[in-house]
Amino acid sequence: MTICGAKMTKKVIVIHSYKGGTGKTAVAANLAVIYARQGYNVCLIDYDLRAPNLNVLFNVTPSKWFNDFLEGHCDIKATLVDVNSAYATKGRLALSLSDPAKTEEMIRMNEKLEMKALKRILKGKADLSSMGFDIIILDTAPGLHYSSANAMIASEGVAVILRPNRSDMVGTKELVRIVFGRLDHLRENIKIIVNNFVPKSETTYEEERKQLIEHISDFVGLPVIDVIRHYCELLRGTEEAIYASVFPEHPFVLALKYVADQLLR
Amino acid sequence: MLNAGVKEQAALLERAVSLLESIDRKLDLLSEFLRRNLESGSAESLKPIEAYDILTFPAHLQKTSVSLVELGEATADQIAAKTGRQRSIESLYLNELVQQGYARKRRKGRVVYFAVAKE
Repeated sequence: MTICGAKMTKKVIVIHSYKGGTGKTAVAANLAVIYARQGYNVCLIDYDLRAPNLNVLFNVTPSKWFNDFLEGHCDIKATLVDVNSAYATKGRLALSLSDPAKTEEMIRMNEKLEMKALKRILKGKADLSSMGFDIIILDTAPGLHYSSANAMIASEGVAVILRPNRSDMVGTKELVRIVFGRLDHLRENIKIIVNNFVPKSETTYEEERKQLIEHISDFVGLPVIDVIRHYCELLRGTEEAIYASVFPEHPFVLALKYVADQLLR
Repeated sequence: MLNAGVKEQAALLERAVSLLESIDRKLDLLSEFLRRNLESGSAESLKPIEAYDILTFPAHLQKTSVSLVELGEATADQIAAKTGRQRSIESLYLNELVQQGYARKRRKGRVVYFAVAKE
């Protein structure tokens, strides 16, 4: 079920977090590659207009940006860059990227533009669905902005990335009060992914993990899909590599494969 | 006598026709009045539906309002086709949006169209 009713069958997944630096973009990019490798046609959209970075991660420069689409200068199709061959995917993997050169402009006109953007986002979703995309992933700006609210209204599911600390938990709980809890169509479809978990010891890892899931889901009021451990190599290599492509057997990728399955349920 | 009877009937008919014409004019006025009322919510006074408005809408209005934003202008039938709910229910919800100043409606023949503020 979507906010627009039962007719829509495509899945729009928003990757969101209360604070920046949670690993949101790494999760979004890796999920996109995982789904596309599984054979789904995936469109990954950088909807973080203030701090776009998927263009750096995928190392591509499109002729038209997602900003151009939002401003009504082109349709969503014109912004797509296919990266199937570079990531050896079975399904189509297309990117719609935000222009880092327009960050300042976006900050200045952001609110006005984003207030009008809901209709554009809904149109983009309908166009991408008719182009055969099965999954649309929206990497949003952290916190609460018009853009994140627009993305959630157009989505069928939200994955909230949360670091296991009190600041993220309190902030996410506030997002539940202000946004998540108010969107009726997302009632069962907002799920937490805990990222960067550092256990006290290897021997107590499983017990700590179990307690953490219970504690966070009770406190925030949302189900926790999975707890992903902290991997130092990810911090070193996030900007250079998408692990789902380069190290498909890495535990981070295996954890995200589980998350990918859960998000489609 | 006969002539007087015919004249009387002719006068009655004339009066009946005049009354019918008067009723017709009044019906036209009434219909115009109703049409203007149905088109309540001029473009100037219409509030745009934005993300934060949707967050404050009750659950039942969220689907209807998002569908109307997506279509721009639509009948209750078209909205019902998107939401999967009954036309009569959607008509009720669309009228609720009109009352709250988020949508306007206009009648074209027997069909009523609802619309949100233009960008």
